[in-house]
Amino acid sequence: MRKYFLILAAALMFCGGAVGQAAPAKPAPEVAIGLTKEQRQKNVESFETAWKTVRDAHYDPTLGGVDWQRVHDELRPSIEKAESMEEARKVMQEMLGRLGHSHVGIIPSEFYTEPPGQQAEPGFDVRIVDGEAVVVRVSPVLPAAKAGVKPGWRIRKIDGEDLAPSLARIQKAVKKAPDALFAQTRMIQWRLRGEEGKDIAVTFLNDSGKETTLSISRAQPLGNLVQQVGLTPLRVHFEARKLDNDIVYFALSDFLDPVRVMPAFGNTVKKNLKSEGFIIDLRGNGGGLPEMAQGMGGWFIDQPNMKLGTSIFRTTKIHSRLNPREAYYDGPVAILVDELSGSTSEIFAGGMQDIKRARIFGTRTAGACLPSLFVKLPNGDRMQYVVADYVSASGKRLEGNGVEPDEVVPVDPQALLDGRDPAMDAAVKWIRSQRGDTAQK
Amino acid sequence: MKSFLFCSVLVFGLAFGVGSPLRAQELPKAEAILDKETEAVGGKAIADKVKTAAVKAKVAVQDLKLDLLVQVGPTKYYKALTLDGVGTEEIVVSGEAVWKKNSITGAEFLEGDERAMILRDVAEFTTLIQPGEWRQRFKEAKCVAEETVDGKPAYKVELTTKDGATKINHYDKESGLLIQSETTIETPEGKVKQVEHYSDFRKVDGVVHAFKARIVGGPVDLVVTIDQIEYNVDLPEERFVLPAELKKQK
Repeated sequence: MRKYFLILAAALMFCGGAVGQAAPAKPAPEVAIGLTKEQRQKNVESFETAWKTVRDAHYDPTLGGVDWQRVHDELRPSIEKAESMEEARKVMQEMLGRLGHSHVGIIPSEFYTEPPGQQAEPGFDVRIVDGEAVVVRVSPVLPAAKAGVKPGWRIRKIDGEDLAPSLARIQKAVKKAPDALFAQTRMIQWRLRGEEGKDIAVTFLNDSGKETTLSISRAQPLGNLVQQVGLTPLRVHFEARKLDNDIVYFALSDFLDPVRVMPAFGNTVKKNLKSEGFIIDLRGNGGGLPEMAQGMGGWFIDQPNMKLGTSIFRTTKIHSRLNPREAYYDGPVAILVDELSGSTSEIFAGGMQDIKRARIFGTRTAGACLPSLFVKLPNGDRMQYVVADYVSASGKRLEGNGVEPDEVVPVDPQALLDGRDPAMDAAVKWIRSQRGDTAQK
Repeated sequence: MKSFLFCSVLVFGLAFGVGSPLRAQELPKAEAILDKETEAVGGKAIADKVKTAAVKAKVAVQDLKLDLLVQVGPTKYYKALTLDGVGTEEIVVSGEAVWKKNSITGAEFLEGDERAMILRDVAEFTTLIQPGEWRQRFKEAKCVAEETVDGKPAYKVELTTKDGATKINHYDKESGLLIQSETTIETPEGKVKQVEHYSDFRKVDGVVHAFKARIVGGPVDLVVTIDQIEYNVDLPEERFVLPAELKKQK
């Protein structure tokens, strides 16, 4: 059967518009405030397209027990009454939300044409530790570093608004702890982003234990701007360097931009076949093209017929096969992950762990791992929808569960203040312990 | 007329209404229809003269544009599909070896159903250098109806390939050319009907080809537009050499 390019965060699929013929929509009522008659009609058609697509393409015909017709009948009046695009999207999001899993959503059309300058950021990354937002990384070349922000600092306010109540609200609203961490972190990241050159005021608890408010400019994140099929434009950053002269470190922000990333990764492996070890840093990597995980994994095996896992569709299965590459690195491989490592990051980490070709360090991953596609809706928005379930090579389902590291290394604010990276340190220590031992522990 | 299977990464097939059958009348034999197609295509014009062929085309699906290159020789087949910014997938048949090389995932031998599908594809493309050799591709052919396709009267012929797959072809009653082809293929979302519509027929070195194909199946509706068909092109030897990583596996 035909092999597909499937991506989890976004789909490399050549999907045409509506699936089949949607039921003829009732004529839209007369124009209300905010939307033209045509826009209302398109929104109703989009609702029907979205509903039918899920009904026909979801890997589980029973949709996990959701009465999909009932959902349709309940929400159809709402889409007809929607008086703005925001309202219409909310209705469709509500419909998709009833499925209760990741990788579904409505992406507004304007997200695909928004000028890149709107995604500028101050230049530091955060994670939630014991209910507080902690700076875990500061990019040395972006405004936050120049402003004096340091890893280990805690964020108290953004633009004068206390963060604690927002974090608490999310904690209360989101049932599962890993999902809450994910949602809390994303909320902070979104609030920090904005127009390039425009300052944002962030109040920190600094390394002296004092509150300090810094006005930090925003700049374009590092990386190359790419727009992969179905996804909005975003910057993909990767870095390859040596640690202590003999351990290779490769960090990747997203499994995207294969034209640049795959040759760079392959060349990094080929040039370092004798290195002491390999560390692949996927912390914060939300996913992308699963083929890239397959391609990267192939450098660390020398036999065919191995796989990272299996996508389970309605009537068939596709294995994420690993193809041995022209060179083979046979030394120890460590993969760093955290709660924002999702989707293809989980395919890679979980699969390499299962075939005992890598040891995983950090914290449990996001548990958001379902093959999905994108389809353009009649109103110009896009819908992401799930077409398969996914299990790792050992048969473990990753959606909702994530990848449990072999060594759990939580974020340690004091270690960060001391200039250390505990997960990285643990990986290096393990690699050193493998010297002379070819077996993966 | 050659039918093309262009993409290796598609969901396909929309059950297509092809119009109501016309009033029953005596139908010609399938062999006569297929031989008429051979004549209409002008295959005999290049018989024995053509050893290789190359097709360059563009594939458009939604807002995606891919480049397609197919090169075929007596025992060689090469297909490359490139999506700008993502990568290239190459399928190669060289003698008995069939492999795929993907710029992201690497190279692998193709076996089982995947290999069979590629070999069927090869048989289709081989008609570029052996037009009219339908008897080599199909073991059974039967004309079952006269129908209207895209507004034109056409003969509906059910064909069985040498490996047992079924195709339903429609041949223009007047010109004899193949204007529609339907197969059922396996996709992750189940069996899907894929229908290919051929148009924009032009002559290249005396042989008629469709320069446009619309392929519809499931949620996918794509258009293949041929930019160029060339005969007796050099097939770069390096393309048909087994990649180093596959040599290690032999």
